[in-house]
Amino acid sequence: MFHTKCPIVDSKRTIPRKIVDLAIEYINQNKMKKMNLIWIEACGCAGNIISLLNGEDPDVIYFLNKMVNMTYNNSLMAQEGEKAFEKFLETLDTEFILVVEGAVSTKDNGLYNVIARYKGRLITGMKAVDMAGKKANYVLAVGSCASYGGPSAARPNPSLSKSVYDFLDREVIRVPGCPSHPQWIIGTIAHIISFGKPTLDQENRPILFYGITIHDRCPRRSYFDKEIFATKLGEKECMFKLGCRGPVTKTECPIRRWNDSINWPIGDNTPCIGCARNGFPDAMEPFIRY
Amino acid sequence: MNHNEYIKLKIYESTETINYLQKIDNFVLCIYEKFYYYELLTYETNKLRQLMKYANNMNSQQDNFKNQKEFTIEELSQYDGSNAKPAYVAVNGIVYDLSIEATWGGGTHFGLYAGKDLTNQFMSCHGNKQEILRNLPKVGILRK
Repeated sequence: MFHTKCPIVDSKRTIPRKIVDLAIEYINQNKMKKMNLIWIEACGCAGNIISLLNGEDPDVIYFLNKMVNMTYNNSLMAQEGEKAFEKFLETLDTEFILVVEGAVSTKDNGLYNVIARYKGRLITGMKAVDMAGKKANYVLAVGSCASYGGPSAARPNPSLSKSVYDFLDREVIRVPGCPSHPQWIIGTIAHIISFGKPTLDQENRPILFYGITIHDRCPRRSYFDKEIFATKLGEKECMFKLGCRGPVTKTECPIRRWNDSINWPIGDNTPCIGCARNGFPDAMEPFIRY
Repeated sequence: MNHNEYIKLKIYESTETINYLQKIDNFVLCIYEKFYYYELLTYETNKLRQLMKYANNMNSQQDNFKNQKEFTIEELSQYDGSNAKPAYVAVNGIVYDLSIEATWGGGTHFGLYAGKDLTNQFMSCHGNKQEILRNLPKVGILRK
């Protein structure tokens, strides 16, 4: 439909397509010099790599074929044992992106999170993050544990876990979420390989994905404004009185949604538990109250 | 111009803008333009509401709290925000209503629960931002 009165209307429809095409073009240009990527799973639950495998548009196959050269990840790589760790060591001398999921367990020199055995020595997650963190071009802390400590560093924190952000004395891009959305991870990496570091907020999160609170884009926001609240789970009104953390959590869940954009917590009648926020889970409790 | 007059001026300006936007919104034809002005109008209305709330609070701040409801700690603990009950919190002897404060979902806020005297906690986190309190509805005072 051609609109004579408002010139923005027509271009508006094609803007997303142009941006998508541009992103694909940049990635195709980068194909010859794909950057290496090390994905370390430290003291965490492997949730973020599982989340990554659930990615759609682009999916993880596209991500691995076209965007980066993932040289080390304990869940995805073919090599085992010392051969796998040799790959890790080889990559350290190249240009690479370091992705860490899970917090860094620091008690007893990191002994409670051993990720490899190399030449008879135990390699702890703490050691590996330290080695790679010093040399990496970019460090991404993916998931709430790596970004803020998360469940790994929750009270009473017996393993003295720390976030990668606190552990490494360098710039770390935080991509929080429990788990992080595959498109937040792939999107941040796509930005790095195409244009360099994305614009970050005060807490070093990409504004692109973590700029606005859930509350501000919540489909139940009008109920909140009219002060109509759900009194128990399963009701369609605003779940603020049940302890929703949407107003203090900045992510774009309401528009991006999960599982190939099928649904998201509030769409499925559970209040937001603030999983992508600093202080999760201790400061976000109780998750539900009535 | 003192602070009071400044707020009054802002309220006047805001009402003028709302009148203007309402007129435009009535006359535009393009649906997208209509949406655009409608958005502006909503924004401006919210702003006015905030200003009025602020102005009302400024007046009530000068009120004598002796006429207001007095709460004991036990009474206060009834208003803990659970089961859709109101969420009241005392800071510096004044009881505030946080029932619809967005950061206090379910009467809880970063591990703190409503229905208590949270003066120390407030001071340690927002001690330098007393203006937060100014915008909150007050419901009474805490009996010592």
